[in-house]
Amino acid sequence: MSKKFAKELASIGIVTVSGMALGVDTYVHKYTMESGGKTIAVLPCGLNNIYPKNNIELYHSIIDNGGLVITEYEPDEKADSNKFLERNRLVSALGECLIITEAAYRSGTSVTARYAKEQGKPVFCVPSGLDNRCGIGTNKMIKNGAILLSGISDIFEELKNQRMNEYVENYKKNSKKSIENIPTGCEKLYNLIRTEPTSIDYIFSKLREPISEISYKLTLLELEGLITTMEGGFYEKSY
Amino acid sequence: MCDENVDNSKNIGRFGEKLAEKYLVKNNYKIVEKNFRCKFGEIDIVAFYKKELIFIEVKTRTNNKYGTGINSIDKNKEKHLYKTAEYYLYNKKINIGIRIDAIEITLNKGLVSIKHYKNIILDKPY
Amino acid sequence: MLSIIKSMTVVGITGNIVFVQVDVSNGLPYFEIVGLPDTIVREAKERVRIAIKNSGYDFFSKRIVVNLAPANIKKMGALFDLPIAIGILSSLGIIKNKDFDNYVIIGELSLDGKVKKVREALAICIELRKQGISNIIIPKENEDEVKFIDGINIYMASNLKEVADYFNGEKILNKVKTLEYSKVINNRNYDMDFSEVYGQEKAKRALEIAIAGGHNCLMIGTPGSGKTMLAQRVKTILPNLTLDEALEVTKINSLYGEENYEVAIERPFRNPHYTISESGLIGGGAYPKPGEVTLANSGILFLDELTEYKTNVLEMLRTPLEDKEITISRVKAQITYPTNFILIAAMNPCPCGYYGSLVKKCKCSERSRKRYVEKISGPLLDRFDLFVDVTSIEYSEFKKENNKNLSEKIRKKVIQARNLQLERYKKYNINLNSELKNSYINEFCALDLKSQDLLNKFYEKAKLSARAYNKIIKVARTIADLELKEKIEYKHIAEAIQYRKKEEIL
Repeated sequence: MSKKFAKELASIGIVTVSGMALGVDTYVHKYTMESGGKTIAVLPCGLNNIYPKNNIELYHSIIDNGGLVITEYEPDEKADSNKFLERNRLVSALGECLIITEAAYRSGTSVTARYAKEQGKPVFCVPSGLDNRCGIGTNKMIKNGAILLSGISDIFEELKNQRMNEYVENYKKNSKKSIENIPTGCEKLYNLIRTEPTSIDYIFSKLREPISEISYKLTLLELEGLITTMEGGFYEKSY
Repeated sequence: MCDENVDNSKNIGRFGEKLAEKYLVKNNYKIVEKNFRCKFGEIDIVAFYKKELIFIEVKTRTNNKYGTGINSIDKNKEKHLYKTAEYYLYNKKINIGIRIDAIEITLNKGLVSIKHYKNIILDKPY
Repeated sequence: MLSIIKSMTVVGITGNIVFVQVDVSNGLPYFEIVGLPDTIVREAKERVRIAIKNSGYDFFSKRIVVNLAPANIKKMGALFDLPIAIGILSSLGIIKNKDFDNYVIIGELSLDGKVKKVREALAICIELRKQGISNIIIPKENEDEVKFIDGINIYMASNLKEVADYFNGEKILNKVKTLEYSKVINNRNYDMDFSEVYGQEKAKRALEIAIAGGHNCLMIGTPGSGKTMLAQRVKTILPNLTLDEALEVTKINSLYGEENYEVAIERPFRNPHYTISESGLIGGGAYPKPGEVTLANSGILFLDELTEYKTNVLEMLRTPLEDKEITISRVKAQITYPTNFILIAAMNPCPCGYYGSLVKKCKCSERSRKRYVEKISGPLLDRFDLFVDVTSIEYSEFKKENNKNLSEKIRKKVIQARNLQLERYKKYNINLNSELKNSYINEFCALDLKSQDLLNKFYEKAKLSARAYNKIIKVARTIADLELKEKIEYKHIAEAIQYRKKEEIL
């Protein structure tokens, strides 16, 4: 989900902010840049002691891609658990709103959500199925008042103001463009393909067309940039 | 000490050969030559029968202590027989079937048994 | 007296005429066989001698010399027993009628005078047809494998005496009754079916295309996804062997395959284990024997777990795949064997096997995965025309209806497509689209504007090589044939693109 939203926001020109931690943060920065957007990373350490070490390359590419890396701390300071929480308040503060895609039971993310509330920023959470361990926290937050995020338009709804209008326009333009580009006969197929990896067998069972038809249409959709092939032979909607 | 034995076996051998000769003649074999000797060895009897020339080796035994007669014809003996026969035929224009036989004579308490083995060598033994 | 009997020996898989010259004369007993005989042939002396004696003939001691001409070909096998014995009987005057010129004689003799089966019978009978000799005497025990050959008189011999009597005009030898191959092959039941594999529609389609056009296909997927099952079921969609192909396959099997070989009614499916050696795969040995690539001739070579084969062994596949034949040179001989097969291979995408799976998480680092995939060299990958992912999926994703006669349906389509190709390439000495030389692509695979556009668009985006470009066209040609379409349409090109290597897909 982080990938999806990062790409969608970036492709309409919105800048993303995150903490450059491993996992969700990394996806946010990576996919923002993949869609040609800019991203801001807030670090829990000094600039001479980049944490996490594995993301040094990411640190460089954020800067190379016209983004920003900032920190409250002296250059040589090392990261520690206190600094993680302190950093998160800045992440929330820098944004117009906070988006949480996953949170386990009692995760540090709920603290960030509290900061956002204090700062008066809307908190959006992606809902999860009940058997998803990483969804326990987010589901709870929704129950306790966070906004259920089912698509990017929810954000537009909530943040109705002048500055957002430009982005909303971009979004509308992109969607229209996608639909216009769908080659004839491929609409049903395109709609079946989800934003997560979809298998051909699934498509075949739902579409009731011969596999040869499905195959050639997939190529056409790919050449138009509307879908992408994933590892394992699955297909995904592109953004 | 062994002189007696040697003498004995020589005599026995000659006695056997005489018996063999008698047997062959009785069976319409024509004796061509006896005790043909050359540097390769010796052939006891050369006979002629039904358009075939036959080289015969005679083995006489009085008992089975040292194996039966025919079995004493080992590869080495075969080689000598064959080479001697070749030597015999050398320069003789003979265009008839050639055979190598063995006659085994066993003497046991006055009883004589004669066994005639035909075609004991079918191929060059060397 | 000199007798000459015609016989044959097999060099590689081809029969060569051998003249068995037997001279019997008076002199000290002597029996020699010359003419580069191997050990088995030299042992014929013993078998022949006793067999003659036990057939009731007085084997007078004579001077016998047997020469197997021409002297410079190595003579192998026990099949010379019978002609040598006949030659001796003839030279001894026991066989009086000397009409040997019109016959080729082969057969092993056992000590009781019976004529025993030989492995070379079929190969030799096929060669006879080509050489225009019309009569051959073979062991009766070889009857089953030669009954599909017509145009020559094949006489069956059970024992030495009846052959001698035959030549003396005293007995008749029975001829093999020819059988129509189509009768045997048309009523076939398969014990497997494609429908036994759940899902994997794309892989099934890829195999359909592969067999229809002779395209080599690589399946990449997670363990347990059905790659091996699919490959094993490919034989249910193969078209029937033609008579000539069946004879060729049986010939190779009779000479170098398993002991209990039978006349081939289905195409070979060879699945050598990945521990196989170079000479096991492509052939070798002091007197070169054929390898798996030849045993798979006219059929399928399936390499499961492609990454486990030794690299040097895989590299040897390039020539057989390219030339459809292989020449093995050794000091003693240089023999060319046919290697016309379709290559189907399967492999995992990474060391743990689960890269790309939604069911299990992949534990491999990017570097180890890259290293793993690079085990298969570029040039070898280039030999595959079709790449397809075969990944385990949730049961809920399959289409539930069970298409019971799926194999038969696919096979019918395959046969139709093949017939189109046979007709098209009649005068061009090839049978399948995959064999098409690049210079002929324009002639047979003309593309309309829309197809051309599509292909060019993909070519630019994926930075294709010229070879890949042509491969897509050939696969599209097969896809069009499967639809019985004369002209290639843009959707055929679009589908062909689906089967390209991962790196070439956007």
